[in-house]
Amino acid sequence: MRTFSYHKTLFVVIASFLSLFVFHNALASQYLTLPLNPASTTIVVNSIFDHTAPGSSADGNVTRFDGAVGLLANGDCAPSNSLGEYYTQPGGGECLVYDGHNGIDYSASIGTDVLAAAPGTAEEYFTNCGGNTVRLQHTGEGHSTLYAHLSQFLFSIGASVDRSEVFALSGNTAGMGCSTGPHLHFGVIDGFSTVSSNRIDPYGWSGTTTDPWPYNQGYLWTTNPPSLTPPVIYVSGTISQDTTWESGNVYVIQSSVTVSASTTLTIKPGVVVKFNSGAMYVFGTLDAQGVATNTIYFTSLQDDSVAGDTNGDGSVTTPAQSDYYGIFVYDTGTATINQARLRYGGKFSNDAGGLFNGVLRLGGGTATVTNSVINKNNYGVYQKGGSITILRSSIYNNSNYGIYNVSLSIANAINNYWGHASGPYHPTLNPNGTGDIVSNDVDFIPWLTKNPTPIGSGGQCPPTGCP
Amino acid sequence: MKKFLKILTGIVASVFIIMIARAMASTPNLENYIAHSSSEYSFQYPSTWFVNDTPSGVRSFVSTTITNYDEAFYGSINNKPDYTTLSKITIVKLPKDKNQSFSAWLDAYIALGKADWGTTVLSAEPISVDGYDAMLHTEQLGSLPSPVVYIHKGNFVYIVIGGAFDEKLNAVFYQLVETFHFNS
Repeated sequence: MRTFSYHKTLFVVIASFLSLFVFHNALASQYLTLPLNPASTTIVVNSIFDHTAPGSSADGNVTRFDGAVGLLANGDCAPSNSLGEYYTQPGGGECLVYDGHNGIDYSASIGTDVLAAAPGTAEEYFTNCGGNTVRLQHTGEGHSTLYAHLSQFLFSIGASVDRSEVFALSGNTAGMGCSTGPHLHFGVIDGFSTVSSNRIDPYGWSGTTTDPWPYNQGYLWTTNPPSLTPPVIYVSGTISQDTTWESGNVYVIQSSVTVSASTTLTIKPGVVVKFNSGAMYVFGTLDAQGVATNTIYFTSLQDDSVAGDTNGDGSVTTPAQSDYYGIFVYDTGTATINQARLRYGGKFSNDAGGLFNGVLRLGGGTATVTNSVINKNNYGVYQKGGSITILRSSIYNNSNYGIYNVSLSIANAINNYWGHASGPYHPTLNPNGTGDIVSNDVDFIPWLTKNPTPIGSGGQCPPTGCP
Repeated sequence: MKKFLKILTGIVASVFIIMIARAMASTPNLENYIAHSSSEYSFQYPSTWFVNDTPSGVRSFVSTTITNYDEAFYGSINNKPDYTTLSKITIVKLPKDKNQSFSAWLDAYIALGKADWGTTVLSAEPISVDGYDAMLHTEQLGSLPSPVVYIHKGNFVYIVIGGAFDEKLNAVFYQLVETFHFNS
């Protein structure tokens, strides 16, 4: 009896300890977006994650995340294909597909763009059943996503892939019994080991009974139903320690954000910053460097053309110049901006620093802008102090000045495009220019006659000017 | 003499009729096989089947597919075939670390497939293909028990994956493997 008690206690202790590892039910963040683009592909789910024994042989039961159960005993909906597709009611009801499946299958013609469901690092491999497969590791989330039957991988091992970036093309690669038609198999792994980490259902578990698959991490999509809309993070107040805004996220500045002195805010490629109406004050360092294939946006909360309808108002509001103030750089501040779009800002302000108008405002400090687009603002740049260099960028369609300089230094703005081949308008230095207006003390000669920052997938602005 | 020629003509015609009938049958016979040579290897396949080598520059482990249907046509989701009539053989080229033994590589590879797809090896037999060490497996690949041959050559393993809902057509797989040889 005593021995039994001892063993029982030991069992409970060991079981409790193991449960920390085995029954890992902590809910993860909602970070996944669709792996296919609904704008070009009709999203059809052919097969669900089976919560009863996913990844193993058929057990005559297909259980969906909402608790719906298909049973072989109810009838096989498609006995000819041997996949195990079962009815939820005897002889009918819903047909749940397929027994033992541990991912989600989407219809996709061969060659369809496959998008990263979250920013990650790529690993590629092949299995006889999965065909060409890519695993994206999402280190911050503790998960991986898996994409199988691909026809082509567009990057190389170890490449960093951003959210919704096209990194592969779908296909039908695998043995004949594993992929009976072109589709994308999408899976989520709780961890980074392809061999030993558990597969999980990104839909979580919403059934009224206990989840048969004890590894639920909750609903992982950013929206319900899943979409390409990235996660939204609301920010305000003072940033007083080095901070990174991660790729693929949307950061909404509620009122204002201040980057304090000796502090660096790093904004990764692909980040979208939407301003409600306020500003970003830079006393420290702003490092916002996008890449050609993944630019950074500074725009209005009402701008639905990038990262979707973040404010959720449908088409009730539309963005316009002066929707928000912009980025202020002060004496101790440094802003480095590359491959970015700054638009719909430049709201007039009259604060302790005096009058300001531009989407980028310098009271002091240093700003360097390259390969970027500054358009659709009240003023583009408004300089009252400090120094600014703008190169290989496009400054156009700003309501007033493209660059307005009342500081004691010269604004270096050579080799930029001003919205027209004739260059910017300056009453004495370029009176025939029909592009944006520049004030005195702006070094704009020479200028570019073509837009160096193609809009969308490529190409120059039309002869009538840039939109 | 005329009678002899008439008989001979009849025999020749009969042979042609038999050949045409065989070409239309679901299981090709040896006389209908033709050779295909890629940049690395050659093999025989039925003349009525389709062979596609992956173009250079396309990043894919699949190097050749041999099908009894046109993948370009069925590649669209708008064309839904009866998959039970289709056969596909896939040739894959995978790297192998030079310090890793063939058997260790094979164990790791099978474990990789088991994690997501429950791949199980139903039988395994060492064989030789074109003088190279190879393994012939029968693996449960999804809904089909399928023959798979792994050929070890240098720092690579070439995999020939068979698969057909009509098992008789797996004869094509074995003919392909028997005639498989490396060009260098």
